[in-house]
Amino acid sequence: MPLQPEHYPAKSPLIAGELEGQLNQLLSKLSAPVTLVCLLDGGEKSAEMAAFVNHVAGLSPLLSCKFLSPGEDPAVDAALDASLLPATGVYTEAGFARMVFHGIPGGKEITGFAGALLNAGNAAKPLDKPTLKDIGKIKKPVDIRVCVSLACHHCAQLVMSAQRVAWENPLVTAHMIDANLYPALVKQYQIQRVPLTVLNGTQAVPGGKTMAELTTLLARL
Amino acid sequence: MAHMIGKELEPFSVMGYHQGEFKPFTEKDLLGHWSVLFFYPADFTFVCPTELKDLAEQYAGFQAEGCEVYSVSEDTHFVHKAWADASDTIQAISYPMLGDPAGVLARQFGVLVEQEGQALRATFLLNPEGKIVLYEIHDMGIGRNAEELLRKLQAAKFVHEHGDQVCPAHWHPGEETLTPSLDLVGLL
Repeated sequence: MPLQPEHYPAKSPLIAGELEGQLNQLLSKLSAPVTLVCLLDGGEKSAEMAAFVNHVAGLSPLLSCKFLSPGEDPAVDAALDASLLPATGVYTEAGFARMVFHGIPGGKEITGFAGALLNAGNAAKPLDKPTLKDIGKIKKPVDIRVCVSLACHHCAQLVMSAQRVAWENPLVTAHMIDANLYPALVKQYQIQRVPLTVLNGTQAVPGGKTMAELTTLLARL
Repeated sequence: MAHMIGKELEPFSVMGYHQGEFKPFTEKDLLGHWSVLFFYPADFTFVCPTELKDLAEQYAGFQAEGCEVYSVSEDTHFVHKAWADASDTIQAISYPMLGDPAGVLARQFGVLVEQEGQALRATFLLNPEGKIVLYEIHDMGIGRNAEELLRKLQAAKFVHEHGDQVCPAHWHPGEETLTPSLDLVGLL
C-alpha cells in the first residue's frame, strides 16, 4: 500500500517552541510551491523523518509532502539515491530541484534544510554577481555529497553552499548525508572528521569550504 | 595561568640513549617532523615502564605518521642505559630516551617538580615547525595511553594539513537525532 502522510504523526518533537516560530517566519517568505518527496523504509529513522517532514509541510500553505517506498517511482529512486534511506528530495513545480537530505536534518543541519526550502520557494537572499558567475563556470555534471554530523558547525555552512550551487546550476546535485546513519559509507571513505565532501563518487575532499572555495573546486572538475 | 599551545621550542642540548648508543640531541633534531616529548618522573620505577612499553608498542604507528618519539626523565643517559641493561622492557625500546639531569627540558616545558628533581608525567606534541599543538600533564601516579596519543597525533596532522575547518566525528550508531538549532544569520 502506498505510503501516505497521514500514516505518520503530523508533528515532530524535533520542531518545538522557538524553532517552530523561526521556521514560520522563514517559510512565510516562500513565493512558490515546494514539495518534499520522502523515500522511506520501515525503519525508525524513516518514521522520524516522516513526522519531521509532515510537521514542516504543515507550516506553510506553499509546502506539501509526498511519501514513497523504494521501487514505487524509479525516477525518484535514482534522483534521491534509494541506497541511502531515509532520503528527502526538494521538488518544485518544474520538478526535482537537485537538493537531497539523507537522514533527518536535525542539529545544525536544520539551517541548510531551511535554506533549501527558501531556494526552491524563490525566497533565498540573492547572490552577488561574482558568485553567480563562478557558479556558472561549472560546466560538467557534479554530484556533491556532503557527509556531516548534526553537531558540526562547519558542515551546515558547506551544505548550504552546496545546495545553493545546485539550485543555481542545473548540472549540480547536492546531497546532505548524516554519516552517522550510514556506517558503510563511513567505512568506505574512512570518515573520522566532518565535513567530508565526495564529488562524483570519486574525489573525497575534507573540511569546510567557503562558497568561493567550493565553486572554484567544482569548476576545476 | 597561561597555556602553552603555539609555544615554540627553545634551544637545548642534552644527551640521550638510543638503540645502545649515547647521542647528543638539540632542538634542531626535533624540527622538520612531528615530535612527541614524553616526560616521566624517573627510571627504575614501576608505573613508568608500563607507559614506556605502551609507547614502544605503538611506536611503529608514530613513525608511520612521520613522528619521532622522545622519552625524557631527569636521569642521565647513563642511567637510561643501566635501566635498559637491567630490564628487557626498556631494552626493547627503540625511540630515543633523553637524559635531562639539569632540568633544561623539564623547565622549558614547565613540568619540573623542583623539590623532587623529577618531571611530572607530561606529553607534548610538537609540529614540524617546533610549536606545541597539544599537551597533557598528569600528576605522578596517573598513566597515559599511547593509542590515544597516536589518535591525537593523526588529528593534529589532519588539522595541520587541512586547516581547522573540520569537526571530529564521534559516531555512536543509534544515537538520537539532535534537536535542531536554526541559525537565522545567512537566511534572512
